[in-house]
Amino acid sequence: MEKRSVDSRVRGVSTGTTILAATFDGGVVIGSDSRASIGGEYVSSKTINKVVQVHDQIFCCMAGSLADAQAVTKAAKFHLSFHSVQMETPPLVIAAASVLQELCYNNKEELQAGFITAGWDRKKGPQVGAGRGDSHTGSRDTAVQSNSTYWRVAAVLIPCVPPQVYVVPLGGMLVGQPVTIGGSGSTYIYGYVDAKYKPNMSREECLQFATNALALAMGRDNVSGGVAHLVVITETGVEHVVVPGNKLPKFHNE
Amino acid sequence: MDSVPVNGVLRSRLIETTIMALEYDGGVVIGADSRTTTGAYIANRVTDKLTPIHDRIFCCRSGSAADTQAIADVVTYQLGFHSIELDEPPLVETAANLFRASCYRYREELTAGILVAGWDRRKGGQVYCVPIGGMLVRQPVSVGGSGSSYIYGFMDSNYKPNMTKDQCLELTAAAVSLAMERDGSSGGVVRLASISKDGVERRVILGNQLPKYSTH
Repeated sequence: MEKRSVDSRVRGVSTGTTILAATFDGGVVIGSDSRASIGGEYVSSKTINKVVQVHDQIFCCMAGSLADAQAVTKAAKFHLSFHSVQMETPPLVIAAASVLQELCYNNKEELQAGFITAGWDRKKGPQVGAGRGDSHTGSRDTAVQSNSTYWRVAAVLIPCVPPQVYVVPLGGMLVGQPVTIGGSGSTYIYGYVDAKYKPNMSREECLQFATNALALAMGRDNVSGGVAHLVVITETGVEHVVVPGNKLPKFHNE
Repeated sequence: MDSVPVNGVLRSRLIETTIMALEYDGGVVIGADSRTTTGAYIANRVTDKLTPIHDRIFCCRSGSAADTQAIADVVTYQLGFHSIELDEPPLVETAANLFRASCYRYREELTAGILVAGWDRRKGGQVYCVPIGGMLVRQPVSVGGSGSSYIYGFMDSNYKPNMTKDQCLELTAAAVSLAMERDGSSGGVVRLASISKDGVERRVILGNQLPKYSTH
């Protein structure tokens, strides 16, 4: 999410970002870029990891104000581990997404952060979800600043197989999607994702798809960049893949 | 399309649109959606945003409908006059520069993003982009309008240099359909045109014949 420079001194570092998650046959890939910037003018970190582990097999990606996102994920980790101890079983992905949603929704005035949650649980297998909470009342946006419209509604998207839809007006939405993209860079890859994503891909195909999508978004969005962090979550475990900038796929205009 | 009350009067705009132009060996392919809106109302759902400027030169219009029509009229006149003086078909680069001259000089008053595309004997198929503000740059492939943001990734990954005319037409139709699916302000039909030394071929792909993509 991109912050206007007028706000940057007050709001601080933000992650204009590209995040995505996609399900494949047997698992889910979740990934992000690695750039943190202030006001879209200064890159404060080239290599932050926006993919955060909230439980053994549940990860989430953060977008928006870095401070807000880190605070929320810290709280979510605590809630989830407490919940899993109480239930004596690993939490469901939907539980993780709901925890993030509650935190985002109850604090929507103060927060400016969005999330995608993905993971694997025994009940529903691989799932991807997105939670957003935003109080940004930005002025008229252009396509590049589309963050403000994009994040205006606090939403939790949970892709399910089959999709289940829960609608909570004014700041809480549940929608099932097999693939989700988010962040400022995501605008540029909607067409690519719509055209290229197929359900039940193989692991390699999905990884390639996610890497390509991140590379394309990073190529067009000035506040996304760096390396591509990807995490592959399946029944058997979790695998981190990092694709450095110079190893990212190149396209015709580079 | 958003309406901006100017002096209390709603003006129709087509700033939220999707237009595209690509070069291939021997010509150019251009494409656009067909929606013009005034606020939330679709004033014209079958707009033709591909406007002929000369026999082998077209422009794709995005921005204010009124502004772009006025500029296109002016340039059509200027180019026609120039071509008669020269006694030969005008260059695409000349047309593009005429657009740029108007768009830059009146940049404060205008909202116009234009793609100029055509064929001439000197350089073959060419695409020139004249965005809001009045810059001029030649690009092998260019997209414009609000719907264009959604297809940058698709274009970057799918465009290859030296495609054939049919591949270009397919790619343009696919890209404009994808943008129309995601952009609320683009829609209707897909208008395509291909321009080469043999002339101009136009076609329309109706809404129910568009490729469908979203499975989610």
